[in-house]
Amino acid sequence: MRWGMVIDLARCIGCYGCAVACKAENGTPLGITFRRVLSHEEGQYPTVRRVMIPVSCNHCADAPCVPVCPTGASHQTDEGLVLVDDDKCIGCRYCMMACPYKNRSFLKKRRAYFPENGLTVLEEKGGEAAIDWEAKLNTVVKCTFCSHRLEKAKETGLTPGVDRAATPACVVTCPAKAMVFGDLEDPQSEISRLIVTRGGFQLRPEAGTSPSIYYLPAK
Amino acid sequence: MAQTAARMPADDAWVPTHCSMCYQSCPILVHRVDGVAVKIEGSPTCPATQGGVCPKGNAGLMKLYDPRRVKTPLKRTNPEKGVGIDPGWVEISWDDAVAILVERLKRIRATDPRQLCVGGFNAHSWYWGFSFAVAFGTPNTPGTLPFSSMGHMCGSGAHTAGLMTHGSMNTHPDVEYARYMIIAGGAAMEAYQSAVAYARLFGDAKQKGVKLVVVDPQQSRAAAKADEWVPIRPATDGAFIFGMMYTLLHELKLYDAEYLKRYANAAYLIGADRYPLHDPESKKPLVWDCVDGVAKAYDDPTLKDCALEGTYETPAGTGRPAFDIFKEQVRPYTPEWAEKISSVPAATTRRLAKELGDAAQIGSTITIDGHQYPYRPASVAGYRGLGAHSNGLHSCWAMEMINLLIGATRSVGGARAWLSSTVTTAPSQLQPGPDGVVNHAHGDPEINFPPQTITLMEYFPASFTPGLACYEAQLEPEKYKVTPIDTLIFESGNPILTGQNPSRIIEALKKIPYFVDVTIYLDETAEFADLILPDATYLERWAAEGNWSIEDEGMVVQRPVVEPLYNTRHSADVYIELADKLGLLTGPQGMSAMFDTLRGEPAFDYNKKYRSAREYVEEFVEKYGGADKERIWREGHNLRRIPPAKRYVPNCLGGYRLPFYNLWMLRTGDRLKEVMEKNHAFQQVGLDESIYFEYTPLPFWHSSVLVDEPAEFDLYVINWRTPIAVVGSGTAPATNAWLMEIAERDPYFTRILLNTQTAKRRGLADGSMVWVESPHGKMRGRLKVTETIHPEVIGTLGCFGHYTPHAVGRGKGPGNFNALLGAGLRYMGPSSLQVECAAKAKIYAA
Repeated sequence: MRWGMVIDLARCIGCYGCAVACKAENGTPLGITFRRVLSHEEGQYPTVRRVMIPVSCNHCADAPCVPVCPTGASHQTDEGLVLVDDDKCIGCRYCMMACPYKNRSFLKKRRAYFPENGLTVLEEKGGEAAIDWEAKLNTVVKCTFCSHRLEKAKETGLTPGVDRAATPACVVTCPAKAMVFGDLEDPQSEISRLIVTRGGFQLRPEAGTSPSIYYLPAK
Repeated sequence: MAQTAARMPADDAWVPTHCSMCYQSCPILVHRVDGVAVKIEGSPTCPATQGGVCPKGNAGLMKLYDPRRVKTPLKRTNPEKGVGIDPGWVEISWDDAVAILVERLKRIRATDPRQLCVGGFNAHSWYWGFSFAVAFGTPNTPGTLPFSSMGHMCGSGAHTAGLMTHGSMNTHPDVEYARYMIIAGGAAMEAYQSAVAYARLFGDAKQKGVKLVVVDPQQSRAAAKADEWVPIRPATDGAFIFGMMYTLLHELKLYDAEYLKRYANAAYLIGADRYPLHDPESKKPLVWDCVDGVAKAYDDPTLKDCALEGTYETPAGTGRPAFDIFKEQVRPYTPEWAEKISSVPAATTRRLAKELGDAAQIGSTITIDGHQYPYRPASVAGYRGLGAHSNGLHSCWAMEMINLLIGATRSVGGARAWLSSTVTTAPSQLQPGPDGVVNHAHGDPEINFPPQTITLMEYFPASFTPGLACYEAQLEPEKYKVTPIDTLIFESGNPILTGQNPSRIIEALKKIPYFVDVTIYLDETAEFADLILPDATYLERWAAEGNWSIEDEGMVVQRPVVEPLYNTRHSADVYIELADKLGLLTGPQGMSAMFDTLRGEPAFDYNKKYRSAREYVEEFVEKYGGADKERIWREGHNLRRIPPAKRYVPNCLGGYRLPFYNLWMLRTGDRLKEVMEKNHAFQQVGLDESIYFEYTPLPFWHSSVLVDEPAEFDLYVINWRTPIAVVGSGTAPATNAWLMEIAERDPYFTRILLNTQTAKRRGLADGSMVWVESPHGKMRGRLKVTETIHPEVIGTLGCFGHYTPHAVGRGKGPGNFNALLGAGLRYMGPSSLQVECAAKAKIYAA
């Protein structure tokens, strides 16, 4: 089993719904965004097209961030998730250097949205995931594929990618239904089928990391 | 053991309610843990949204927990009002605030209740203030959004065009069945009505190979997803649509004659007085039976085929089919003519007209659920880009006309209704009118002289919600012969930033003797208040409405996820207390009786004393939830798909015809003239006959007021909405910490956008600071050079320019776009009062 995600660029409208849902889900401090949306322009006026590409940790099969970690904090689970154990992370940031996608952040400070007021009760909660952000100070943080929701699946028998409570928050919120989550190693899964039928591709394949996020072409 | 207890919060609930981060009302589920709302997700049982939520909806928690909210009632101590002048707020109790209001309102009511205005627009909570105001006896109610920029900055033309043509505030493509869609200036998928549903539906359509063409000065998200983006000069979309109609009518002769004869009044014979000829016996409008060669009543069962062209002699006089008159009227509007105005190449206009006409599959039918309907899977739709200009009413009307021409209006796959209604069941309010024709959904407007309301709508009955005109009326009550407002209770909005040019608004706010701001923030507008009533957010209140949806009918309810924070109170509960103390709560004219707008029939027992919004909402669900009561409480809604028979021609028309020839416009203009002339009004007020300009039975092209701006302002400047930015109705992202963080990471947000070639010619470098100057104001910001905007256009996203400390976006972004707009009636539509939301401008290095 290897969890993966498909993002259909033909459906994505670049609305940032996923980016805000991610902030709410994980309660990320100001300045930390696990999900970003990149944009660029292809062509020239008037035959130009604005392309928007949501990005977050790719949970690469050959994750270069894992072997460079001196303490084993960055690790890969049996289900393909690349995670950082904050107890072990010493904040050396080798992993950030190794990531070809720049999808990791170093949490130097827990920045409040309204610094004059300290943290709001909302920020204190650490989001739906109830993340203890104090424990993550001076460590490297990143998208977990909402591992806390995937964990729920084990307790409840829910199916990630099908049942909302066990599916990453970005996928659940997407107004355009542009994202699908599932098992990349199951050839019958919806994401496996989409990758085959729609010509799914990974970002920067030359990096040789085999990302678990596939994109479906915009055209 | 202790660990287990820590993992099991005492309070852990998903509360079903609905969003109000915009005026859509998407059902949501909010997770509350130990008294704190931690997450918002879409309701998976809502057919339109299917569990999705947009970024604004996701960011609602940052509004709820924004520590800059105003936390307790405040009273002004410094009588001097002005920008940057400290009002000298002192905190007061709710009891004191209510007592102040009761005393004041008692006095006003005893003299002239019209001196009270309940204005602004509190989305999904507007009807409490409305019912209170009606019970009080003032015509200045939230029903027309007085003093609000909401509506006026976007839909005063567009909503009228839709309502008077097919009873809907807006016209949308029927995406599910469409094969071809042109969007002319409308942020479909991002901030168009029902954005969440459209994001999904357009995605589905794209995968089915439906062709989407977007006409817009800038490459919107819809344009980025479209098969073709057609850049256009701002405020000229109407000319482009007239150009397409010329091609359809005069070059291709491609139009749906059968539909125009059967479902519209295009064959009605129009007499010399511009009204339909009537059969002397039956008093019904006449058409010409071209088989029998005789005039007959339009619904005569012996009618074989009726003429759309020609001139005919009848017993009622000489008549000409309305279609023939329009065809002649469109004759000057060639694609070459349109090119000069809009910059869209004539060949493109011709090609798109042909594509549209061909895609409409005129004559075809489709069977849905065993019933046959006309199938016209092509349409033109548009909204703010098309309509938010001084010529917006006729531009939007042109859009309605091209849909009628190809038989698309309310046909399967064609142009659909989007309803905004508190009525929980109707797909749109198709109101029967005279001569067998559908009337404007709000009926014939009241026209008095002198006017009864502060909105000036009695001089401008074709307008939809001219909220900003109230500032003009308050500034010069003698000029318009209106009763000035003594006390304004204003809910939810910041018109100093979101309205047309702040200068007039600021002056007028100073002229309101007592200004009560029901607000979340001490914003730029609140700085002028005498009394601040801190409102609850949508996550802290009770409400019930019909859904504002393209897809669904049913009821949505709000209930508090958490109790109101700090010392805030839902304005509804304040109105209920005020009504009670003023003796206005009960009785047939009381506040409870005035809620009928919620349903269109009596909703409450007007003899009972309701004590809170909660009691009203609970009883409303009990009374009208029917068999769905439990579901409504469990899921927060009982939305279901609108059945096809309610959506589509012919069933949706109820036997009436769509006004190809608009008798409501003709009648309203003539009634207006009658009242003005009878009262010799122009000798008494500062208006002239130009207010009649737009009252014609058929649309025509007229330029925006922008064409008369000085030539040195050689470019246009526009702004637009995105999924994280609103204009007109609010100032997100600048007032939401999560959205602002996202905006600052976006390469286009907080910037001033200019076409690459234009920037190059003017020696302006990407990332440099520039001034944008219009004849009315200036803004300074950082330049973003892009290929995605028309070379004659400067663009910005959303609305910035905050200067009071409430906004996280203060000091960020390019200043206040709206300060560039012209001020006052000159920069509004001559009859519609639609604000011109673009400006002419020049750009230079800062």
